[in-house]
Amino acid sequence: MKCTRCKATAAVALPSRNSGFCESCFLDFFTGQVEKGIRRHQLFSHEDRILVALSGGKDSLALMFELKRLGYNVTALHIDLAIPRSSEDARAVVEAFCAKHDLKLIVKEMAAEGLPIPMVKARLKRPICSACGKIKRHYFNRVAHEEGFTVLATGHNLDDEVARLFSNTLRWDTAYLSDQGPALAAAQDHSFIRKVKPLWRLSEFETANYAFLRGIDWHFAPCPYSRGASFTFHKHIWAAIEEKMPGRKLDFYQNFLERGRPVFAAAEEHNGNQLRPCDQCGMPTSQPTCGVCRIRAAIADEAKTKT
Amino acid sequence: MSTPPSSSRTHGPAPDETAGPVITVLLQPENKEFAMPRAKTARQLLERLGLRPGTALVIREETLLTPDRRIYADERITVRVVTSRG
Repeated sequence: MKCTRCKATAAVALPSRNSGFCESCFLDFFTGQVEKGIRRHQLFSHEDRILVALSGGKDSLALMFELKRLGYNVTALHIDLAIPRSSEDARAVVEAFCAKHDLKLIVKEMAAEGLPIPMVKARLKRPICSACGKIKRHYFNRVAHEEGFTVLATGHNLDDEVARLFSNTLRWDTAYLSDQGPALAAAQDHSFIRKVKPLWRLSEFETANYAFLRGIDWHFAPCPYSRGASFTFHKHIWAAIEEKMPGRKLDFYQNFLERGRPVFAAAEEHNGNQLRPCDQCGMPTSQPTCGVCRIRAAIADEAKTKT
Repeated sequence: MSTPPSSSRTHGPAPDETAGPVITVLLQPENKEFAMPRAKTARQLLERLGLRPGTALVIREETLLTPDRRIYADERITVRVVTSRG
């Protein structure tokens, strides 16, 4: 296979783009897609202070690398979840990456916050992924808010977004369908920081190729608690659809943004829950006490009962 | 070295049919290394491992291989599955 642009031997085949690229042209293509993604939804500018959430996986590291390369004002945030045989390795990867590329890094330890994920898992007695996601999002927002960042960026890619959209659609979850997209606006009082996903146009295969070609060492061991997660199952379904109908993933997502989301957003404006500050931590929530503070209290109660 | 992983999508010769040309595969993220009968192309290798082309990198030394690239006897190929699982 030859590179679509320069006719050298291709290194990356992309049926969904009806293209193949050599290493150099692929890197240009990737940058072009990130810039297009930022521009299309006006995600941020060079004036913004951007906090980039780094898990240690290929997507977040690739995002950080590319934003730094493009001259944005970026700082890394890593949430140490305290999961045995996983979090230590992920944190080491992030620390090594930031040291190598001279990046500022903030680490937030969930054990120190009274929320080590193994304890949360033991207390909840239900699939941990949604609670873990809730806790991470809470601290992404909280750190960004407390440290004066104007934007929070995550490495969610097209596959993540399509799997999430698919899941939201299966449940007809109008609240989530009303605001899913590459950008989630900040709250007027700035308690919710603007959240963006600059890799929304790129598949995880594309970010993996990019990370490999940039020499990024990423943490690729899966989370030990994620086995059987429906999110992974939905990704497999979409991989099969994409193989049969190349390009359908991006079409599905873009058409949702253009035609689907506005309808759900309008409905949610009438029926949606009002946000208020959590009575414990002050972060926005639709309940008197936010979900994360409720989890923390439940863990503390259980610890007291045992002693 | 172990035998190739089993998969409902796995095709090709059984793992013990190694009389002909053989390659060594390092499968990640499991980091399992095993020998298997030579696949003629990267696409055939992925098929035998039960993987779709857009879900794994096929790597020879430091070079990425597109599905049409030939694989030769006695090569060591890394297959890195890239579908994140949380």
